[in-house]
Amino acid sequence: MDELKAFLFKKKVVKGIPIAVKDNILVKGLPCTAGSKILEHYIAPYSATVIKRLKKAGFGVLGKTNMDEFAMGSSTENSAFGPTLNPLDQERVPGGSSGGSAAAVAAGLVDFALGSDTGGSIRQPASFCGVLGLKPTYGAVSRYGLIAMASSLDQIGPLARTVSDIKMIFDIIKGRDKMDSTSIDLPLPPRIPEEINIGIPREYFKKGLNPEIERLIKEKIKILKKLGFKIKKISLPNSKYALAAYYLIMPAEVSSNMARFDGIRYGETRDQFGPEVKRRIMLGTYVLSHGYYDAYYKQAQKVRRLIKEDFDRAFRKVDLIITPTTPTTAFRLGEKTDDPLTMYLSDIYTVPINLAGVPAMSIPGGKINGLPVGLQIISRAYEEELIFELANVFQRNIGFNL
Amino acid sequence: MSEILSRSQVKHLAKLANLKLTLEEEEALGIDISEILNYFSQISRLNLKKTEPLTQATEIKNIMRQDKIRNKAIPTPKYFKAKILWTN
Repeated sequence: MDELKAFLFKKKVVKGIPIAVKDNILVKGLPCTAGSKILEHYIAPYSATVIKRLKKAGFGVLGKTNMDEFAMGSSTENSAFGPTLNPLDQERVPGGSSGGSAAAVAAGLVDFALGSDTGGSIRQPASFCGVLGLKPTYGAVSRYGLIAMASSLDQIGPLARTVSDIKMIFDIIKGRDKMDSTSIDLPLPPRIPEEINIGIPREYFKKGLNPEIERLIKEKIKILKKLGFKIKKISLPNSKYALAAYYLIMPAEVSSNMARFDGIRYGETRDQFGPEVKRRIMLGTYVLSHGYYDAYYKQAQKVRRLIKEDFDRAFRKVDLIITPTTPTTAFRLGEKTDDPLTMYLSDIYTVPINLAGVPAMSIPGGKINGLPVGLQIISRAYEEELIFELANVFQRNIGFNL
Repeated sequence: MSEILSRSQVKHLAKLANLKLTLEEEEALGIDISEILNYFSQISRLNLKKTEPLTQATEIKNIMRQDKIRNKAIPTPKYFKAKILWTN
């Protein structure tokens, strides 16, 4: 791999430190397909703000990574250009939708990659591939130049193999950008309390969670206890409604964002949308239509407030929350493609975070039969630094066994 | 709210969504969407009369600017005077 890197530098293929970029983030002059036939021949006319910032810091885009079409999926099997395989077991999916980015980092093709996370699309593939992936606070990173999926939830974030690499990329791409009115600067200096209290929500350790994953996560929590961290049992009582709220709000925003692909402004016509995109557009159109808006969409937004209030309440007692990232390890290719609902259920531990807008990172938490398990660390909004602190404790004392 | 979408409902939705569906797609999507909605209708039973909807998590305010031309690089158009050709 070092030879490949040396070659790429010598030939000036990459001008800078190589980074891989999910194919829904615009890099001027390169194709940007978002995994869709519609954009197969689309060339980005400008670079996303995150790309401009990385280039200024000395990075060069090594390539674009495969993804579920328009970031809709949890396995990267929904890409119009074929699935990505999990480098740790090629019969299994790498997760999604940022599956290409996670696989590239896990395989050692690059040290860093960018992904986007709407309901877990950075953290779930990071978990399945045994790498780290950060979903920053909503608004912490500019989304100018990101092909939008669900605008009240989307965030760009880094994937890497060490905490310091994640922090480095995050520090470069974060902050207010006048091209994205939802972006803001993080408060300085970051709050780092003397004593870090960690909450364990009981709702995340219930039926549906692989018992081996539960054992591994609880083992890690015990180690933290020995290291002097205060561990508290907490409750996020409305967690059980998060998936329903997410899969009503997200398609509604999807149906609106996908309207721009009208066959006139970009690429091909709407019949080129893949089945999952069509499914979500139809679902979104339904929940927004007259007579169903109040029962579904508005109700889902009310549930969203309950979920956020759950986190607000919990964070009055604790500084960080630890959960599993996913209820299972990487599943087999084709295992869930026939049943959209089962596929959606794999996002159960990641979607509440996007609904609440808080940041979360998945770090490697051990392996079951050679397949990685992800441990999710969640903090208050704008307290990514605190997540890095705890992740560093894991890296130093337990190691990521990559 | 457990209901199955009828073929005509699916057709109507597809029209609203500007999607042209094949017969197979209409059938499959009707079933998929009904199943998904049935699962997710658990929240429509919650009593949330007093809860306000949350549209965006961080609830930051819109950032506005003055409606002025900012880009100084736009060249000022060069006009020329012509003779009056006719008057009413």
